[in-house]
Amino acid sequence: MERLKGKKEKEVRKALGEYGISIENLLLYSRDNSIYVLTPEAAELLKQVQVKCLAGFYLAKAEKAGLRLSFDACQLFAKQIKKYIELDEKQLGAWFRGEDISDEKARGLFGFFVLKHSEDFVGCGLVKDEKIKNYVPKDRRIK
Amino acid sequence: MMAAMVDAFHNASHNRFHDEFQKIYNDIVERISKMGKRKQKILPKPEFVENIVLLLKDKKDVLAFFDKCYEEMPFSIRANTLKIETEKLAKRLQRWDVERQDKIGLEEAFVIKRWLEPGELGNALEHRLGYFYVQSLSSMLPSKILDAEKHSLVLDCCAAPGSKTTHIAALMQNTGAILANDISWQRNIALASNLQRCGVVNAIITSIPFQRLAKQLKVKFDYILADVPCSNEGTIRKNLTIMKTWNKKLCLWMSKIQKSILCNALALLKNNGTLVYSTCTLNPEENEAVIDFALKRFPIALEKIKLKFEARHGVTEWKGEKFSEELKKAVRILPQDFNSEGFFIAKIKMEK
Repeated sequence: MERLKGKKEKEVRKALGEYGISIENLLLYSRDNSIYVLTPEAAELLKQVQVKCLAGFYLAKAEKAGLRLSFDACQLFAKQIKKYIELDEKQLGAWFRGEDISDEKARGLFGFFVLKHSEDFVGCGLVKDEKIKNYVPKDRRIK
Repeated sequence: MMAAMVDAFHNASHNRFHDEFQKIYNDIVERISKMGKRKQKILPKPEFVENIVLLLKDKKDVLAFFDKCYEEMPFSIRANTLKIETEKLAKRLQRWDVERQDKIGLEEAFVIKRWLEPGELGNALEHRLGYFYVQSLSSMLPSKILDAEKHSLVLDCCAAPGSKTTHIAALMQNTGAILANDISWQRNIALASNLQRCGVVNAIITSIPFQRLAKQLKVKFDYILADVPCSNEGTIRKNLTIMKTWNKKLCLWMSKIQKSILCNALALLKNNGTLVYSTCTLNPEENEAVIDFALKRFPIALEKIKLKFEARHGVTEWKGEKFSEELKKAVRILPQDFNSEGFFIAKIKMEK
């Protein structure tokens, strides 16, 4: 895992800003295309732990279409999120079954959007060709 | 002549105890026989009952203990305040007839009073969104008692599957750092998954034997939680067979492991730092004896634990062995006092 600095860090913070998320108090890390966050104190501790470890909260994945927020980041930063599409009850059921969703609201849009139902932010989907591609992790789907 | 008299006295008192114990054991068996067929099949081992009799001394108390052990434990959950406010969750979960537990000092805890279908908790939308963690009330106490300040450095020695780690992170409002270690990679998969589900951003997970980790670490901690592996006597309500398979050798073996973990953890505690030692077991070999062992080797003192419900003090004598008077400051939580699991908790302060 590598600490993000300089241009790369700016790019990620800018992409987060598009969702309305500002997390200046957290440090960003990347492994492959995945972005993780850690508190400054945890980052300092990480330097001192000289054994194999797992660190950080999985925040997002850098994809061709933009930055895809992780399922859990959608609730953790719910109060800041501004870029979202609302789902109705029926669509929510389909979303948690792992299905892609057709929605008129997606017409003319492209890229990653957070999905919202009532007060809940329920993950991030790729809006393309009037469809919302499902990214709900398997362990959170309805069994 | 004198020795023979002492022996005779001991034998007489042993026989008296044995007769008394036999009566209590028969009473317990009789009470169980009136319960459902499933419960009737699981009788406690006499040696286990004997240990509980020695610990509680009072017959009524012993019977109350076993009555509670055979009673279903209500489901309890903890609001994950990193993702939702407790009040909001309370409103959402009215459908389960939840009862808040703030009167006993667990502001973010709920007891579910409605009967739930199997899987109903885990499949709930609120669970999938990480708004709550299914956890027994007793198991929420160690993190509360640790009371780690924001921005501090915390070590969780035996962290998986993460109920207490996620609780500590929430109490610290996701600041500072938590080093969460567990010996098993398998269990750490669950730990990592729970940290992610709860939105914890201040944790690092390691997976090596704690004694080895302690030797490699060059850093000291403000707070340490040593919720050590144990013989699980306190979790009988979830698994009655523990009473059937209980054996003294396991307790003594566990005690050795616990002493090693505690001493290694204390070596990593800062001056004035706080360590909470907890187990979900009741026998003094795994509790008071472990703390007493550490008290003789480290410049530490116990801090009195204030709870908002009745709990027992730690014992200062067990099977002829005397422990430090400091142990009175530790608490033993019994299922008949607090409608949850049995637990033992001691709060240790490192002196300068």
